[in-house]
Amino acid sequence: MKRLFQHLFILFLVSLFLFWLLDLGFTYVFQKGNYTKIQWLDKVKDQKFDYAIHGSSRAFTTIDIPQIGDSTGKKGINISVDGSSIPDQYLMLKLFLLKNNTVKKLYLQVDPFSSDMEEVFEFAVPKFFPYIKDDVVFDHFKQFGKEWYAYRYIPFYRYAKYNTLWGIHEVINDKFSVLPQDFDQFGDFFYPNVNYKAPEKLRHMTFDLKGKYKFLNLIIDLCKQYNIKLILFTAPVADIIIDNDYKNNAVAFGNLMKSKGVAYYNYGDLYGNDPKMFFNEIHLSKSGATDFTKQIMEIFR
Amino acid sequence: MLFNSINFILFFSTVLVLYYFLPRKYTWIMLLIASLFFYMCWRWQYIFLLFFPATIDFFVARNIEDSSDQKKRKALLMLSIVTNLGLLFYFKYFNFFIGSVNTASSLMNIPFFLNAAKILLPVGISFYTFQSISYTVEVYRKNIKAERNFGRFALFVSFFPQLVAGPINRPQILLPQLNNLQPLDPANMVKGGRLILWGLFKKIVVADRLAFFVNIVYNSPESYHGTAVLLATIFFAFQIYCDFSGYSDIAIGVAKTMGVDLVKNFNKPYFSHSIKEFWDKWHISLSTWFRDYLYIPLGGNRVPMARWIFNLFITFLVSGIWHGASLNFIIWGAIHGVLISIESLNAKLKFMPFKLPGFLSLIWTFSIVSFAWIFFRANTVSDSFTIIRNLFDFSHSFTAEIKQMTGADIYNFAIGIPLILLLVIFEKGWEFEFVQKNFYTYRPVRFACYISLILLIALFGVLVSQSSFIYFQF
Repeated sequence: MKRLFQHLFILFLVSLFLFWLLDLGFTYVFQKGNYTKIQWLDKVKDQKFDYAIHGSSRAFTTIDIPQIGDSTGKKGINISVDGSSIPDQYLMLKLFLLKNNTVKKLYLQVDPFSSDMEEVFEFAVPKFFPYIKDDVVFDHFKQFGKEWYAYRYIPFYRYAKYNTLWGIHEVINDKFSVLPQDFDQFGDFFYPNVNYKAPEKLRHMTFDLKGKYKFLNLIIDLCKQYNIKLILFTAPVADIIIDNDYKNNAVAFGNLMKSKGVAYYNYGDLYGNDPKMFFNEIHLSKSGATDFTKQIMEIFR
Repeated sequence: MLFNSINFILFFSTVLVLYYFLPRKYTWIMLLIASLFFYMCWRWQYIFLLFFPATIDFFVARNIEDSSDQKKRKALLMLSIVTNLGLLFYFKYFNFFIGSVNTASSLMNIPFFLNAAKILLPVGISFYTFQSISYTVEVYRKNIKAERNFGRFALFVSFFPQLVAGPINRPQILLPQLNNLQPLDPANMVKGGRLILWGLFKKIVVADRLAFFVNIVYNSPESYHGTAVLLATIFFAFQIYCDFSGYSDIAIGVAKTMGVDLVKNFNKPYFSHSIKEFWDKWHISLSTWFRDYLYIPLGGNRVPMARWIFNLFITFLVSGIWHGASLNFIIWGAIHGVLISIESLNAKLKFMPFKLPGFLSLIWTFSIVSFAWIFFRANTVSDSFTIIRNLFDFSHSFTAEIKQMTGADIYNFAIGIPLILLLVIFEKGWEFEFVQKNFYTYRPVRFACYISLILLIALFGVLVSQSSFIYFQF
């Protein structure tokens, strides 16, 4: 039995060493890579912007930055990460500012269904894995569960667990730039124009006026700290019930934000329930994004 | 608690530590408690379902043994069979039955409708009821003595490595081993560990990875054609093999570490040259169960030819129904019933003008087995026919259909083929004497194999969520 345990221990040590090597190799390649939005943003340093767009995929796919540049001459960047929740967005903004980037105005897309969220989405979280050894990243994520300690301290565990995202294919992709990024040089991505049909079911969508808005408040504080003018907006949604409740709630949320010194614009009902500008219920198509950018151009001046 | 979860690793490690330190006479009690705990992790109420037939079978078997009245013995045996099958029928087939009655009455314009019952299928019920039936039948046939200790009998029914998806063990093999548990032996632990590692590779790396592409195609059968459907069907053949044989390997390995030998459940079934050979190598514990407790009691092949073919067909039909309460499984069982009947008739009457040579017969067998799997995997019968129709439609661009998928899905599809090849190389390679000789002679070779499997699991295993084993639903 003693010999068996000796052999098992050797097997364990050899495996651990190999995982440590793989971890080093994978992390090195991923940090050098440029494929995901987070990898790309990690390399944006010491730059000055007039404004930044931030949020989830609803912001990632909604505003046409070159169009704003042509119209206003202002330099912008889209730092939104698809699939992110507001805690990730807070972290992303923090990392962006810590890299000595400056921005005068931040346009943050907020939704009634996510702006008070205090959890992270399973599918978006692994995007930060190559940076887990960074204390800022780890200190942020460790509040979301003990597993984050395992991600940080067990070699290769995080890449093994999420190997569909951070697998060998991504190592090859990052090392040899096989696939192009799916976003442009400003960080924008647009869905194609499709024949999206009217939503089958409409839903109530109102802000919780008694919500804590923990991470939204942290973003507000961060903006104050860096002298950034924060503007909140809600992008169009195709499947909302537009009634007095909805309209009054949007006004009330605007007032709540105003009391914190933040402007809020609600465009959720801009296109009503007309599907033609949409790719799906909550995302605009390319022509929808162009039209939307044109309609809200004033807030960028 | 799935075998491919951290919870199971913790549970099993605890069992091994207790097994090592507890005095020998208490080991079986610890295993019984562990097995019940293991089962209760799914749903604690299930334990009553496990105990109900076990209690009846325990007392029935004792009474069968104690009685010399043949009528009474037969009646007691019937009580055991009816209890087990009744339970199985209620939990597994009752709603299917209700649905069929409703469909029939609606087709005949009869204003009659039965409400479906709210039933949750208890995990492993098809396996432990069959194992329990085999016990009473063997006592009835006087092949074994009835167990006089209820706790030990309960352990036979609930022994955790084989509780939820087999292999279905015969009492004459398992009971004596559980009644005479041996101290932990390093040699058994190594053999068991090897099987566990190999089973995990098959399940986590091959089966779960192939499942991505299979699910995409089979869940949208209208959207895929020709090559995509063909590949998805081949992928499913390997997915279900790796899923179930992987589970069986882990189960056998877990038992082996404790010195208990469970029956072999798979023997490279896709290297079969006929359907009969396939069934000799696929889910062996179930095939032999049906052979011994259904086919042979029906008369087997010692009856007129028409009756023999009927016996064969009915055995496979029942095997199909055993797999699940849906028309898909019935059709799947019937296809195998027809195929094996034709094969058996041909073996006897030799009406086929030619015999396929070795490799072609292997490809032919694999092809028809894979074709039958379509009914097994498709969500509905109508989906099955859509898939079959699209399988022969090569007018659509394969590349265009693949491009519809996300990057991650394309990756999962792309590594599917190398993984299947790797599996075939491993399984076929193991048959060569020099491979086994080198493996067993040189420790560094063994170490390299273990490390390679561990790395393959880490690099290609689907670890983000533990997916259940397909056969748990049966």
